[in-house]
Amino acid sequence: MFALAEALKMDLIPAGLALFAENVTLIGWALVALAGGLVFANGIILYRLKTMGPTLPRMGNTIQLFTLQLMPPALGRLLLLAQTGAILACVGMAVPMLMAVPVPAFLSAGWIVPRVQAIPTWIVVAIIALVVCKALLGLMSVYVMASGWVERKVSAHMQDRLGPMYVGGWHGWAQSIADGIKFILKEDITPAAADRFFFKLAPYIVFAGAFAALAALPWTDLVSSREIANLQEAGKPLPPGVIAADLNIGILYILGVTSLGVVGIIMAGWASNNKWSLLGAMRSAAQIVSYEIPVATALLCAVVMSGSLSLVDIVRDQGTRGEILGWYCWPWVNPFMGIALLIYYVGALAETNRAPFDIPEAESELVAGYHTEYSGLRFSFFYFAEYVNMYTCSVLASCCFLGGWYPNFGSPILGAAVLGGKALFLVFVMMVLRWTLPRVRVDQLMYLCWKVLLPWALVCLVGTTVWVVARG
Amino acid sequence: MHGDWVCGVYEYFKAIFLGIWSTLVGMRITMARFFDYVKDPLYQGVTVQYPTERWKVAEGYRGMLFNDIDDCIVCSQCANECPADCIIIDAEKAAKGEDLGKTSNGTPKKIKAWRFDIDLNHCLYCGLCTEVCPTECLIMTDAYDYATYSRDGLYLLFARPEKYTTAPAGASPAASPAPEAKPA
Amino acid sequence: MEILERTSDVMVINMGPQHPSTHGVLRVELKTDGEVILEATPHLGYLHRDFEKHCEAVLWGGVIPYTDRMDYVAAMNNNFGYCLAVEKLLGTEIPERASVLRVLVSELNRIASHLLAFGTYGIDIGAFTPFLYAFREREMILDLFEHCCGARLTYNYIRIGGVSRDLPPEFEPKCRRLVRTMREAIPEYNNLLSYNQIFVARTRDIGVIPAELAIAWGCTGPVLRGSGVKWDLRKDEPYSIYPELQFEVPVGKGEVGTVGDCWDRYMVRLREMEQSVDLVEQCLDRLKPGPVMAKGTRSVKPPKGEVYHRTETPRGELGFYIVSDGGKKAYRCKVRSPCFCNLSILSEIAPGHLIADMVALIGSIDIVLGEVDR
Ligand code: SF4
Ligand code: SF4
Repeated sequence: MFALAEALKMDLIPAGLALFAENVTLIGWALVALAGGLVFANGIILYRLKTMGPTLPRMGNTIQLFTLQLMPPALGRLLLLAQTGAILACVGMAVPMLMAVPVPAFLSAGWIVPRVQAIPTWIVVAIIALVVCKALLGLMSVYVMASGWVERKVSAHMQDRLGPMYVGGWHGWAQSIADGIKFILKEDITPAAADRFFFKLAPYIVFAGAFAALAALPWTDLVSSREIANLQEAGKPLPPGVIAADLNIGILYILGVTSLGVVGIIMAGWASNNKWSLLGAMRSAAQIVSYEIPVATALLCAVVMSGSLSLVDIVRDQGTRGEILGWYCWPWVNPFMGIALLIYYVGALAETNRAPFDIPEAESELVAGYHTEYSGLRFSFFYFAEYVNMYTCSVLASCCFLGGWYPNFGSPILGAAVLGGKALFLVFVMMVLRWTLPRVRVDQLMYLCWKVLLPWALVCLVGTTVWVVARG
Repeated sequence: MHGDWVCGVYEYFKAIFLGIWSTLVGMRITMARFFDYVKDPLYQGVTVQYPTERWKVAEGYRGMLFNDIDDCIVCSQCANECPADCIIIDAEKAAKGEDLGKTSNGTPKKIKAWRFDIDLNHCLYCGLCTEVCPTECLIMTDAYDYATYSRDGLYLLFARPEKYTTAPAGASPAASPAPEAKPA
Repeated sequence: MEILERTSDVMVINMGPQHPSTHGVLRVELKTDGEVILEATPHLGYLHRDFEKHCEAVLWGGVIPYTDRMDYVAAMNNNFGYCLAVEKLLGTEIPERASVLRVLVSELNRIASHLLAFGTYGIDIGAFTPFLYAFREREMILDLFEHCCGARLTYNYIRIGGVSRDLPPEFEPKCRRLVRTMREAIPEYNNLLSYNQIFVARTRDIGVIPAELAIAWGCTGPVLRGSGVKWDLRKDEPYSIYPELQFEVPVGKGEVGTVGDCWDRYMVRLREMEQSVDLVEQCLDRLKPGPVMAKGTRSVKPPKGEVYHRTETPRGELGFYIVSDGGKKAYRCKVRSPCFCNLSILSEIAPGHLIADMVALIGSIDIVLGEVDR
């Protein structure tokens, strides 16, 4: 790790990349560190929060606490909570950043470099990570708010209603903002009989798990598919895609960190000391653990096709096969990938706890499942995580099966729009499904996973492999 | 045995097919509604933007009660009929020679009401009282939003004893504050 | 013995009185092993308002608004049952038009009630959209009721001796439009929910009530018919103008699973809605001008005696047992509540199901707590 950081400071891009390529094992350690760091950081912050409540004025003289003193204590605490969430997400992101940072070129030029090199390495990395994280957090907040509003409108219009119509004037566009403010202003209730530490920790873990996945999600590409083909022919290295951390194990990383969320869910259910929550948590554990398998198997088909675990490589491979006609989901590219897409999508619905697989929070059975006891900002973390997870899954589906940012005609902006459009369309389909279908039962969910999705996913994987081998 | 096996496989594939098919059928319905919501005139009127748009109630809607006390002959039929005992009348025969005036349909009034209260907190909005009223002075208006901050707001006082020339023994002629409802 | 064999502890869960799927303030005490229910005990009484005692305190006609508040989802049918009982005691002749109107509104109310049952059952199973589609149609029915009696939920429309008012002129065209809309809507419901594979999987073979069991526990209405017993008081003990009307009595046939499962009970309601739509149309065709109230029924004093009369409400057999001492008020009034009897079977069939099935089960019995507790 230190060697990596040192290299980063000395010769930012090439050495970092080289080291990264050589030290794949490091990444495994980093993932472990990520999980450990999350828990550790949460512990410290939560401990401080706990002690701060009544004794707020007596706390030290850092700027943050100074401002906190000026505010009403409830608001201050809540802001601190929000901050904690952000910091945690940053920590979650920092680790992958440490491993493969495509640092903007200006840092290596001119007078900046010596000064940058004078700064301790970890600070450089942390600053970059923080900036990117804040940007992503902002982007995701906008996305969550917008899709929250869209979901209400979509469901309303499907059901012959109008949905929110007041806030903000035009069709209630500001409803989500109002809700966000309301979440912050709500009283933060911890049930008396709850396990306070884990009760408070759980939302952050769910949130950080969802958010850390964004680090390895690609946004767009700077070069066109033709240039890529040319570069490949010439045997030159390809420029990085627009991605926070172009891991060469991107898919594995995403699958790994998104399943961190289930730890938070179990924690929430257990710590609430509510039987409905507990049932929800148990269901969720069984569900997510099972559905990881068909989801991962379906994604492996794309990996087999492209020969790489990096999402950028997977998309580029599709681009070089043909910007529209080369998507993996087309039967002429590979007849099995269409089925794999279906399997992946169904599995992703289950992994994100969306209807018809929303049994961990089935409101008509379990009141609200694992988040029954949560209110205010803590509840909004769950909500936020759900939407971010939806987006992550949709981007993964677009990248692995639907050609990612192609057709982009060489324009990065268009590419971003195309990828965003595909992902949002898939999110939209999730919404339509949610408002159309009833909920399945726990045993049926397991039946679907183990007896339907998994065998077919394996068939797809084997079929894809055979197809790839047979076609050379 | 062999047949069972075939049957099981058939069921398996049939369930998968039906699952996908019925999902598509359901989505066709919901998406159709989603897209022609604006076009379909039949269901346009379902949502009313309540405080700004108002629901137009039907003729003969049974809303808040109102008594036009000038037309009331204080016959107490309404109070007797009311199943919830929420009309409270304190009345007295008019003194000899005292003229209480006439109702709008010409019936002379013979009884004066010191108190004519309706406790809407207990009212069933059944309309039985308005049906028996001989002068049709007690009516149900079409007011339907009468939320108040306290229960007193739903305790309606209709009598206007200040109009009478003689006061009852021991009662103040001014409108009394809302007393508790007592059984009629 | 069973408890000894189990390795895990029994968990006691209170389902209700505040729970989204108990359809009101029902509390079911569940003893579960994980998610499997070992024992279910319904606890009632949270909505008790002492209807029967009220009857002894108010005039004969004043009871009707209280019957509205029993089964508030099908208030017309409750009005109807009570009025028929009192009229039986009185021996009143009801004018032709009034009889047709009574059947018309109670069939409309049956549709409204089944729509609600259908919609909330969708929510119980997890589909939200059918609920709002059902409410869209129910809204049209409530509008009709608002036109004919001035209230949307507590009608007090059917009175001793007839109905309170005649129909306004706009009623008939609106009602015919409703008939058309319902005929289009019911197939849509079937496509959206009834034959949806997830819904079928959730309800098939769940909560099977065999016919003998249903009879033994005194189940009536769609719960009994869902078990395949063709028993409908409108046919078997006809009252009012029902003998002159043509309709079928749908029963559960076990199309997707066993006879008497949740899906059958649910489907009986949807099919009954189709029949009720036909009945509404027949009633509309039979409407002839005439009085809507029998003479001399303003304030009644039934002769000394007692009477039991039962009618078929959307939830089953609603019986009124009334004792009169010849006074202005009833001496005693006892209600045989269909929901109460149907609900009692819950503890018999619930064990062995999952918690998710419990929700499907309560929904398929379609209780209204206002009537269970009275
Ligand atoms: S509407 Fe019914 S309950 Fe209300 S005051 Fe009149 S008679 Fe009494
Ligand atoms: S019935 Fe009519 S006239 Fe008689 S007391 Fe009541 S309001 Fe007055």
